[in-house]
Amino acid sequence: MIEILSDTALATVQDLGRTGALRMGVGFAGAMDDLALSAGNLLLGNDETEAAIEVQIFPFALRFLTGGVFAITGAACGATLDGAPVLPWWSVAVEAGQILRLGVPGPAAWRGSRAYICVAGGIDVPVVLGSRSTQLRGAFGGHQGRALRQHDLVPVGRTDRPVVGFGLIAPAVVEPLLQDGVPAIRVLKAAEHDLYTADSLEAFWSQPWRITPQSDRYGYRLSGPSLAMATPIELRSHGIVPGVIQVPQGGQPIVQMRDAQPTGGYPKIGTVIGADLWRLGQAPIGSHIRFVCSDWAEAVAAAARNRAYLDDVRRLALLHGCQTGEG
Amino acid sequence: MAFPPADQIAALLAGTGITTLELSGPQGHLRLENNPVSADILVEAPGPGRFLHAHPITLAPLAAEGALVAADAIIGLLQVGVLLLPVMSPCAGRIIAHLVESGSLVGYGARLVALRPMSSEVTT
Repeated sequence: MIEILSDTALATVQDLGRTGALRMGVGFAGAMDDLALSAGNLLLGNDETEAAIEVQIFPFALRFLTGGVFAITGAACGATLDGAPVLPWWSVAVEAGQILRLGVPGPAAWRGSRAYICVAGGIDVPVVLGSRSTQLRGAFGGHQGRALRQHDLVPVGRTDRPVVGFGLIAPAVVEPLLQDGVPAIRVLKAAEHDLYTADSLEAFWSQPWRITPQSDRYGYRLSGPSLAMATPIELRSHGIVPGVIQVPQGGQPIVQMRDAQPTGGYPKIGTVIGADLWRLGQAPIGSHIRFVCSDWAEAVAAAARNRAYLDDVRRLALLHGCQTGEG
Repeated sequence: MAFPPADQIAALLAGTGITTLELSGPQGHLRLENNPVSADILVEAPGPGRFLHAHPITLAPLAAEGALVAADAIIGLLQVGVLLLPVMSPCAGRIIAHLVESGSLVGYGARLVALRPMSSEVTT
């Protein structure tokens, strides 16, 4: 059991998300940085689909009411356990009563915006529609269908894994993706892409976009050059998924994120490839990103590289666990 | 083949970074260790990998030269593929020197860090 000590809102229980319920109007939810969640789980010997706590407002603190093992992945945030530093992307054994504090993500080789507290055994909230992720709009899933509050008691699953005390190289270090020094996000052209003016398309693909404070788990509102269609069109509402980049009348794009509703009617200029959603999910408010024009083959190859990274983590963590477990 | 005289090998070893030499043959087994005389503990690599002085995200040195460290403190990292394994201080002490550049590939048992134990720190 874990007791939440912070009264900061917006930390939620998330797993890899709720697939297969879009037809009922239920969005995906799930970790904004799915790679960090999966890697943290594999580091602990969990199944990579276990749920963890996603923290996006810092500082944050919790108390372990039972002993066990946890790992922190995602944004490096100067974590401490009873005052002792915990390295980023690292697993640590914990005793009942110990307090884990996350500080504010500061200057680093890679600056993320969301941290994941994974626990051996996973966060053991009920599975709803196939997932433990918090569905904020529908107020179900996760911990009582809402963000975590001070004094919440969050259940932890059981595990017999004894091995801890090592870490991972983060994907952002293994494969940084920059364009002109700005974090790059690969994008496929979407249905209405070709209806935009040449100037708008030039700006979309070549200018940096700022992530405005009106950005959250539902969507990222970006600010930059105004995007306009040669001849504006109107669309009926249709199905959309996380990653879709819509352009409302104001000409400033919105990227749908994990908590996006599953329908929308704005024109779509592009879609962030699934393999790069974590990069966008970690981009801090106020920072800039660049869109890079991608294609299906590159998107599939990028997904395969993410998969290869996780397979490496699983294989090496198991191997290392076997070696030290015998000692 | 006969082993050369052990003192001759030892003299050759003294000027190198080789820490251990083992020879096996029909005559038997010869093991020579190349230990400089010092009160300092030489922390060795727990396995092969790439030795890092700092975490690749924070870039802050884990144990700067001259720093005091507690027993079991993480004083370096060994990168093995996507894994980062801790190199830990065997006792409380002061970091005297890093013996290997950050980012170097090292083998099992390579000497990474010279550490002066707290007890000898007190007497000097």
